[in-house]
Amino acid sequence: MSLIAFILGLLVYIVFKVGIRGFYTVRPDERAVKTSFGRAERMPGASEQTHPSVQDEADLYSYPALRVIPPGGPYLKMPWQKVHKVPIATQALDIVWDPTKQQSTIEAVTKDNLTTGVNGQIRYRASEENLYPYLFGVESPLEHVMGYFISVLRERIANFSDPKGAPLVGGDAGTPSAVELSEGVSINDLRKNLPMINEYMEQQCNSTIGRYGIELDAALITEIDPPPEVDQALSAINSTRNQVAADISTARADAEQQITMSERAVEIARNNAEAEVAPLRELATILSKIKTTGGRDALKAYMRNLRVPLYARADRVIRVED
Amino acid sequence: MTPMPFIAFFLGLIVVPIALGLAKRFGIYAVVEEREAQVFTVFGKVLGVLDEPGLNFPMTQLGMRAFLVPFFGKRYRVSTAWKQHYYRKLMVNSEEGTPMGVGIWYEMKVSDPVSYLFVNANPEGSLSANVASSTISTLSNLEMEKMLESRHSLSRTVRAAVSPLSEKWGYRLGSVYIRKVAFTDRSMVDNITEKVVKRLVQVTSAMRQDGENRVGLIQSETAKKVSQKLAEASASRPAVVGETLNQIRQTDPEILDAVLEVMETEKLLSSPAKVEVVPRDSSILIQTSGG
Repeated sequence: MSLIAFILGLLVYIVFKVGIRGFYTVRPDERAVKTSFGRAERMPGASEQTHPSVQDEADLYSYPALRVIPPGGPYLKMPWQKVHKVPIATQALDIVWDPTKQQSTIEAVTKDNLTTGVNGQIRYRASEENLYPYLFGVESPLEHVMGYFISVLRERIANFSDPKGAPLVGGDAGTPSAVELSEGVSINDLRKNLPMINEYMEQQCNSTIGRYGIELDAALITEIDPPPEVDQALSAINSTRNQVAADISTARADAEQQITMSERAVEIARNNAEAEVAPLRELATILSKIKTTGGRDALKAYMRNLRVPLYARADRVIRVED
Repeated sequence: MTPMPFIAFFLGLIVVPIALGLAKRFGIYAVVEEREAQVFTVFGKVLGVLDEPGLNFPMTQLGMRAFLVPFFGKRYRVSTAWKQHYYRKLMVNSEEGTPMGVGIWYEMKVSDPVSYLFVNANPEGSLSANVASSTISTLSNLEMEKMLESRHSLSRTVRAAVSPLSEKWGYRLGSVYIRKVAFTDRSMVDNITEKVVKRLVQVTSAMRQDGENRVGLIQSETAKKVSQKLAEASASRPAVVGETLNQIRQTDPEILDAVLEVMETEKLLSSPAKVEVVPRDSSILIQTSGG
């Protein structure tokens, strides 16, 4: 009886561990990795490899490829196995996040040594293709990503100058940079080229997949805040730029109107002159025909005939007889 | 009713976890997690290290002395995953003498668990101090511009300087980045801000002046073009009429005379002027006064 009870107890334990606690499911926004006695299941035949996204320091970040359990279930695991689930949905994080420090902005020094505050967000997700570092290889992957991201960002800000390379104040009157004179002031360049900075950060952070198993979906630097007095000076530049653009636009419109009017005046004068000479040409053609047809006599006859009405108008005619 | 079956049932429930626990406690088997190393010591000596994740049997790998570990030794668990550390507010002076605050961020992991445990009493603290010292010696007396803009190459220099010592202490240094270079002197920050503001003001006035110049240029070019066009308009009549008369003359001078005579006669006829006809070559006195 006692033996049966003992075996029953053993069975209950096995049923509980294998039958009840042995089943698990994986949600659509999750992936899972199973460990047996602490060892993660590797892809068969796969050895430790460096992810292609890691270009430098490849020797430091070699990880094995793991067998990833896709969403679904129920799946069965043995009591000596453990399931590690990873959320793979995209998540957002303020770049000011730092578990060791409370801060509202990231300080960064620009190329012209101005201390600015930077704010923004990164969007990231755990990389399904390189889960090992995320789960096991790195103690706090997100802190590593942020450390790396902020380092790269600060260096980029310190180096950034507008790629157009326009001079600060500029050049000949004919150069196209007249309303772009504020090029070369780092803070202005940075603000104008935020998309380019974001793109650069995304490129630079491609390696985070291979390093930390985190894929950077987007880097969104939304604010680069200089001190208030610089902001005012920048606003003045902006107002002046608008004013200059408006003045130039008005001057161009006036010029266009005046030039158009003067061109019309030329056309009018030419048309008037053409109108004046049209009878001359026509008469010359007719008289030429008369001369061609009847000779000089015919022309003289025509001229005499033309003068005949003068006699009708004449007050007095002194006629000399032959 | 005897309680024996209940006791037997309860024993059946707990026998497996207890047996496994005891086996583990006495070192029959060891479960090594991913990125973990277990260092076994006995009688003050290092018996061995298990760092292959999975189920391990210390006695088969480390010898029978592993059996003594639970009684006369110790098992140390060491994480070999990457860790990171951010060292803030290091003070360096640039070549120009500017005091700068530097933050350095670095990654490290345990590469040799035995050295990590026993060579240095505080390896993390020592590593941190070494990184700090190396950073200061690398960055001190650099030009401020270089310090701000060449951070990654400087980071590599720091890493190269620190790595040999860290390896000795069982650490491997990963990426090292100079994460922050900042001005520590508030008045200097204010001065730089003022300089930038002045520069921006200069840009503003240059922009305004440039705008005025461009407007002036547009207006003067316009005046020039308009003047040219108006002159062209004035010259149109002489050009067209003269050209036409020339053409007629080139064709036949007699025709030109005839045309002009016809036009003169027609105008004369259409005008209200008094007409007196005198013969050609006659010499007469013409009285021009009216009435």
